[in-house]
Amino acid sequence: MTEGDQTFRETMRALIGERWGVVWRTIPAAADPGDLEAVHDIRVASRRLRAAMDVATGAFPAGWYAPLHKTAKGITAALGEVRDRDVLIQHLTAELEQAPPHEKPGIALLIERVERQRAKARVVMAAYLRELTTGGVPAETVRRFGSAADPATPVEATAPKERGR
Amino acid sequence: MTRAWPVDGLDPDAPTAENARRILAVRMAELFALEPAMWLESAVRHQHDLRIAAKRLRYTLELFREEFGASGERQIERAKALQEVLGALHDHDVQIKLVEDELLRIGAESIAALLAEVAATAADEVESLATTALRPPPDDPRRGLLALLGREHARRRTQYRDAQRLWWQFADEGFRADLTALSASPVVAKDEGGASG
Repeated sequence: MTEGDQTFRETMRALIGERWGVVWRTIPAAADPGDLEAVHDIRVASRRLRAAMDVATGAFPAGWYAPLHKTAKGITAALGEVRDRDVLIQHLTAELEQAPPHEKPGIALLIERVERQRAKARVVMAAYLRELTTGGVPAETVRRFGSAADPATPVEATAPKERGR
Repeated sequence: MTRAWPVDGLDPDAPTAENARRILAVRMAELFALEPAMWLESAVRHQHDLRIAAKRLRYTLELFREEFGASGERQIERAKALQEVLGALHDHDVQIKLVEDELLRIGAESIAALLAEVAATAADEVESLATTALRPPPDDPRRGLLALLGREHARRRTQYRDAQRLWWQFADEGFRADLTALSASPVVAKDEGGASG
């Protein structure tokens, strides 16, 4: 088998490692409530990680793979509540700026409600991310998927950061 | 959101390309199974599922972009475009639901307050109470919310037509055939001893 013809297991180990690395490097920026894109970036990174882990379940022992797979899914879910409200607030704020005076009270009321929901969701998200990053999961990802999963690994040594929905 | 279709028959010890093609075949089938969502404007949930399927297809193509080469890049662009147009459609659905929920909440709260007032008011004064209650003040928040709801429905209709146009455009260009070609096993030359006839 040539270098360009790796086994699926070898390829997936490297790809999943890279994607864990991106997730770990992206998380610290989410501590800033003003950085809306940070939450989005972690979500995208976790979705890409899930896409890789979803198809590689048969390639690794379930005993250690399944908990990490579940964690990857959990990251996407944990950030969804915040991200969805960030998007809504951005949209509603633009609407408020354009609306005639008699429409503003209703839109302002809606923004207030979504902002309250977002504040609560951010508290939950921050606690989840703190527990995730200070527990044993980062070290476990490096152990299982190699140094690419290490947040200290230089970005240029791994896959380029990708943005998108 | 529907769960991703499982991919059977993957072999971890086989070359990546073989497994990548198998995964692509399933993700592609998942996408086209949801095609009817593009025929019916009111199929909101299925349009959302189609968006997720386009996302899964895109991620699969990106995951194995080395295996799929230049044609894979073109399919990534298509999957991304579909995902984005369907994502914008979904955003309108979320906003419509949000505004509807708020209107229902305000309506329920105001009628509950009115019922309490009626219960505590003399019978001959209820008519005047009703007249006031049924004529909302100029700053009633429902005015703005109803106007916003109307705009969101209009935007959704436009977005649905855009999504539909893009779907048919890709169909005309051969999106399905291109993906099928990528997911099919490469043609292997018959060896001298194996060929018959």
